[in-house]
Amino acid sequence: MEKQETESKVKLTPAEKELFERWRAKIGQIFVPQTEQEAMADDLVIYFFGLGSEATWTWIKRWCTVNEDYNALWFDEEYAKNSRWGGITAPPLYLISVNDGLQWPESFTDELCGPGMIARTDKFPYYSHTFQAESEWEFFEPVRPGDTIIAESKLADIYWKQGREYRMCFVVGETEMKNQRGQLVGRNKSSPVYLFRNID
Amino acid sequence: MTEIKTKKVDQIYFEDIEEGDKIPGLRKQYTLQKIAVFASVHGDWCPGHYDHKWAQEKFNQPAPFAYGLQITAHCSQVLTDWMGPYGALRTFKSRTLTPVYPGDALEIKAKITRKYTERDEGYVECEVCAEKQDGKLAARAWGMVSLPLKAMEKRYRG
Repeated sequence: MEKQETESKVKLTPAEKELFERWRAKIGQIFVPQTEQEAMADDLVIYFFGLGSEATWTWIKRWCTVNEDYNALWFDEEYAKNSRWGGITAPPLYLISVNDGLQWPESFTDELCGPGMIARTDKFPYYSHTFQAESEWEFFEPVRPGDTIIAESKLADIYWKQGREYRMCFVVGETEMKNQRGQLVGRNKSSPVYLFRNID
Repeated sequence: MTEIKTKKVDQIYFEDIEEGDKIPGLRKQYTLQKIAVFASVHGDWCPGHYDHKWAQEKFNQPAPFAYGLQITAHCSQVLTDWMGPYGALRTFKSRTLTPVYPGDALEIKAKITRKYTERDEGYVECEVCAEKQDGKLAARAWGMVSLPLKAMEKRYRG
């Protein structure tokens, strides 16, 4: 209720209103590429993600090395044997590399920016920029070397808030990750903010 | 192949910690190279994270900037480094507040805000903050760790 009240106070251009309403109708939908740009992403990106989401030990160790996280739980089989999980696991936030939970927001970005991330200023002259405000994770089963992680992202919410300098549009995606045994591994909720300058 | 010097810690038990206790901190130094290699394992290859011109012209930023989720992963490490082999990170939530650029360093600090038990499991809520060299907060985060109970040690170690 409170959110709706705030929302009605946010002034929108006809194009912003159309975008918002079209997106509000998608709440609850599971992510599949929606825009031309997602479908036309360059081969480099398509091939990279086409590799699948098998969490090999090499990938896990690569993730840890890049983050300078040398915890023996991720590297040392002997040490990891005497641990809660009885063997090597990936650090919990390794799930970022499987699915960062941002597909829905990225798809929203594609509405505001054309190829090469150039803002569609003709259509959305007030759009300024975006940033990742909050990311929330829950961890259940650990990721073990050799696991395949399957993720599904749902558009959970989209709403406006009036800020001092900007009108802020929040696009909330919820992602659930399961392993090849069907066990729930993790859940993520991400809500980037899209900032639009106030209409003078 | 060079052997990696891994980090091992003694197990910490639920009974041994108190609300308000500080958790050993962590320092992360950011360079353009470290941000770029994060891109390689992350899969978001937006050039704003490694191309000066792009960062300035398209993002209105003075320089390429670290990934928000890179900072999130680093903040979580302060807890996984501390929890010991029988600990587990259950939830983690982070909020990035200010951009981090090559040359910046973050001091990641954490403290215990609450502890409780539920169904023979000890839960510890922690608050994390990542401070830049100029004192500005780059991120805040909250995590819940489960720690083993001494009383239940047999269950863990057989």
